[in-house]
Amino acid sequence: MADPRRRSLLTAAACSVLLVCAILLTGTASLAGPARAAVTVPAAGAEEPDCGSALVTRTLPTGSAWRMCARIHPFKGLVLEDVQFRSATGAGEDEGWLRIIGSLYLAQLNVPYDTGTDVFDDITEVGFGDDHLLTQTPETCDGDALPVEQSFMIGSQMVERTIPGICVREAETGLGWHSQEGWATSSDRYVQQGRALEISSLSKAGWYEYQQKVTLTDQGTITVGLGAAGDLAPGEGFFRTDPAFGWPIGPSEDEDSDRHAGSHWHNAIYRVDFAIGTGDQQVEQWDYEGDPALPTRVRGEGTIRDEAFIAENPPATTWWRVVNPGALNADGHPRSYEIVNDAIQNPYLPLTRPPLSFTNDHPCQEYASSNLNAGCPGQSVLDYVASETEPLTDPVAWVSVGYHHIPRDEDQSPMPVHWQSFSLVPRDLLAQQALTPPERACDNGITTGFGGSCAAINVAVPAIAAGDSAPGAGTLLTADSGTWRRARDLLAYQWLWLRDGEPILTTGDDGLSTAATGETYRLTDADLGREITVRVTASATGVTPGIATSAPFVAPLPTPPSAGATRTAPELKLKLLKKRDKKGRPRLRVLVRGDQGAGAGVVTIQRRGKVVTATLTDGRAVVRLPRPGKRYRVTVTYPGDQRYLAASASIRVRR
Amino acid sequence: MPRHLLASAVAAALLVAGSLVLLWTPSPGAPGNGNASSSDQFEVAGDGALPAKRPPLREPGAPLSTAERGYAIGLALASLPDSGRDVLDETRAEVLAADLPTPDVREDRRRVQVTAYDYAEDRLHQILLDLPTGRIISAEALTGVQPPPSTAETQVALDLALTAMPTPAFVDQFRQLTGAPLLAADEVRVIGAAWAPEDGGGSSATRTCGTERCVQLLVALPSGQYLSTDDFVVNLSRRVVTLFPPGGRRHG
Repeated sequence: MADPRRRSLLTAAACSVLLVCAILLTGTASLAGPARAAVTVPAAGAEEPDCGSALVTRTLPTGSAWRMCARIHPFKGLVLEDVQFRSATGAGEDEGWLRIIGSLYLAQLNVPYDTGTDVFDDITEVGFGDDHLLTQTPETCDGDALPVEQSFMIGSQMVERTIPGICVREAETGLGWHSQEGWATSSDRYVQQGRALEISSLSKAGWYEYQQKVTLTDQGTITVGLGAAGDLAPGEGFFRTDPAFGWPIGPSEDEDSDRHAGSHWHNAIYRVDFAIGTGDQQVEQWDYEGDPALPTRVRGEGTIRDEAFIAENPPATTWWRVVNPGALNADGHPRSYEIVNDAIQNPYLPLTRPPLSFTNDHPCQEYASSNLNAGCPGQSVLDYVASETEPLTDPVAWVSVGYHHIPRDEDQSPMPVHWQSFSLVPRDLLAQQALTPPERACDNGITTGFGGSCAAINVAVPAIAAGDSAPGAGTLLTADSGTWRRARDLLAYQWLWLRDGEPILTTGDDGLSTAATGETYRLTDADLGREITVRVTASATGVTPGIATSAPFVAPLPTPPSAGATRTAPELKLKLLKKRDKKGRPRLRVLVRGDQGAGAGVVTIQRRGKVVTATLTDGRAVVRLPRPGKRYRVTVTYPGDQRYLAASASIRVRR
Repeated sequence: MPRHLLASAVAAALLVAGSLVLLWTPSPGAPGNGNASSSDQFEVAGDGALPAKRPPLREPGAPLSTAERGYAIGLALASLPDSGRDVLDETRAEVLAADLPTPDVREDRRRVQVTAYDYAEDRLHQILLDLPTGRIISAEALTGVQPPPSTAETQVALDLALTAMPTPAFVDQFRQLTGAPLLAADEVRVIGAAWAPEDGGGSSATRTCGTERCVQLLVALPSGQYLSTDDFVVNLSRRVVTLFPPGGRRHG
C-alpha cells in the first residue's frame, strides 16, 4: 500500500544526518526527543466559529483540542454548534482544526408513565432554558461555569438575569492507550491516561431535574448523555396500587398502600447535524451475515443509503456512519463518524422504537416530535422521513436513546442520577489515532511487525567521566551515550561538547574551526569554572532522531595565590551516614573546614571514572552514591580557594 | 374571574417592586444592553420597555443580549394585528420565545426567531427577523402548535386553579400538609407544561386542548414536596379549569 506518511518519514530519516550536522554546527536545536503529545501548530483548517461569548476552546493536557459554540436555548437547553476537533499529533491533511458537527441538541424528551395516564414532552411542553435553567455552583461544577444571559417578557416588561449556567470541565477517562512489547514487565511499554472535555447544564423540568452533558475525548469521541435526578413523581397520581406499573418504595404498610412509584420511560431523541468537512456527506450502513455452514465466518457489506430512512428493528450488529467521500484523511480514506447507540429504545412507540433515523438538514425540522417550528408544524421524525424527496446528502441523525426507569427504594430524594447516552466515534477521521506517541508514529496501519520505538527516546541522559585525578586543564572527559529506548533499528550516536550551552569550537592545524565532537574531550584553560555538557543525538534509518544533554560538569578554576595571605591546608572529612535513602543508596557527607572557617565552592566526587560535583553549604555537602553491587572507592577532591589549599580524601563504600 | 380582574391580579403577583416573584427561579436588572445582573433572580431590564432603536449587534452565532432580544420582540409585535391579546388580556400577543434560529437560517447574519401566541384568535405566530435591517424575512401563523408556556401563562394557570370551583385536589392537600388554607399563588412553587390529549384521547372538555392553549401544572410546597396535580388541566384560551373524575385518565 502506498503510504505517503511512510515515505515522508523515510525521507526525514535519510536527512537526519544533515539534521545532526546542522545541530552540531549551530547548536540551536531544541533538546530532548520528540515531545510526547506535542501540540501541533494548526495548519489551515476550519474557520473559528463566529459566536462571541459562546465560543469554547480548550486544549486538553494530552494535546488534543476542541472548540465549539455552546449556548442555552429557551426550549432545547444546551445547544452545541460548529463543533471542531484538533488532534494532538495529526500531520499533513490531519493537522489543524477539523469540523465535525453543525449542531447538536436534545430534540425531544418524551416521558410516558407506564400507567398510560400521563405523558410529558419535556422539551416541547416545558423547556430546558429560561427559568428552568439551574445555576451552576462549585458543588455542581468544579471547572469553569460560563455565564448565560437570559431574558424574556412578562406582560409588557422585559426581565433578565445572567447566571453561571454552562459548566466546562476536564475529566479523566482512564487508560487512554496501552501496548507492551513482549511479555516481560521489563519490555517496552507504551501507556497514557486519557482526558476529556465535559460541557453540561442543569435544568428543572418538574420533579425531574436533568443534566445535559456532552463529553468530548482527546481521541475525538463525542458522548452525549442525559442524567436524570431530582425526585420521583408523587405516588398518588401515577402508580395507584397495581404493581404491574411500578414499584413499592418506602416503608411497607399494607397491600393497598399508595406508597408506590410509577415506572416510566425517558425517551430522549437527539438531533445531530453532521458537518464533516465540506461538500456532500453520505450515510453508510453496514450489515453482517453469518454463514450457517461455518458459524465463525461473518460477512460484512456496506451500503450507501441515498434516501432518508428509519432504522426499524435493525439487527444488533448493524451500524451506520456518516462519511464525506470528498474529505480525505492523510491516508487517503474518507473521513467519517460512526454512531454508536447502545441504549435501549422504548419499543412501544413508533417514534422512539428506531435507534436511528436519517433525514436531510431542513431548518424547519427542529424537534423530534410535536415540532414547534411553523415551517413543519406539529410534525415528527416519522413525518420528516416520509416527506423527504431529495437524495440523502446533508444528513441529520435522529438518535433515540431510551431509559426505562423502574423505581427502587434507593431512588428517594435526592434521587441518584441515572444516565442514558450515545456516542459519535471517529472512523478514519484521522490516518492515525489522535495521540499517536512518537514511538509509534511510523506504525501507520497494520503493525509492521518490527519491535522497538519509531523515535529515539532518551531514558537516562548521558554522563561525563573525568578519571580519578582532580580535574583541570588537560583532563580528558569521556561521555557515554546515555540510555535510550529500544528503537526500530540500531541507534547511532553523535556527541557534541558544549561550554555554557554553546558548541565548543577548536582550531585545527589548518586554521579552521571545528566543533568538539566524539565521545571524549580534553579540558582547556577556557573550560575551567564553566559548565561543560555533552549533547548526544541518537538516530537510525527510519527512526525519528532524538537529542539528550548531560548534566553539567564544572572543572574548578585554579586559585591564584593571594598576596599577603597564607593559604592553609583544610581538613577534608568523609563520612558514610548510617541511614541510607529510601532506595537504599548510601549517603556520603563531605565536610571541609580549617583554621579560617568553613570551606566554600564545589567538591568533585569521583567513582570508577565518573565524576559528579556538589556545592558546599557552610562547608558541608551530602551526596547520594549508587547502591554498590560490590564495594567501590570514592575520591573527593576539594580544589582549594583563596584561604585553603586543595585537598583530597577517599573512602570505601561496602555493600 | 373576569379577564380584566385576572390580568391585574396576575400582573401584581408577578411583578412586585420590579422583581419577578414566584415560580422556581423568581426575580431582578440593569439596563438591557448585555449588562444583566449576576443574581440568579430575574429582574426587570432597565425600565422594562422594549428598545425602539437597534442596539449594538453581536456576532451571528453569539447568544442574544437582552437589548437584541427586546428589539426583535418589538419588531415582531409591531408586525402583528392590533387585535392581538396576551394571557393577561393586554393588547399584544403573548411572547413565548425569541432566540437564534438554526444556523442555516442565520446565513451568518444576526437573525432572531420570535414565537408569540395570540389569544384573540388562538393562533401561534412565528416571525423571522433580520436585525441589521430590521426586516421581516418570514412570518407564519398557525393553529394547533403549543410551545411551552411563558412565565406569565403558568402564573395565570395557577391563579385559575386556585379559584376554580370545585377546587383541584392539591388545594386540599396543601391544607392537610400545612394546616393552613392555600390562599395565594406565592405559597407554592409551580412549573407549567403545555398540554394536549394524546391522539384520539381527551374528554369533551379537553378535546379542544391543542387547538386551544392548555396548561398542566406541577405544584410543590416551598419545602420541595410535590402535590398531586394530575386531576386537572387549565384551558387558558377559555379561562377554565377541567377536573377529571377520581381515577380518570387525562389522555383517556
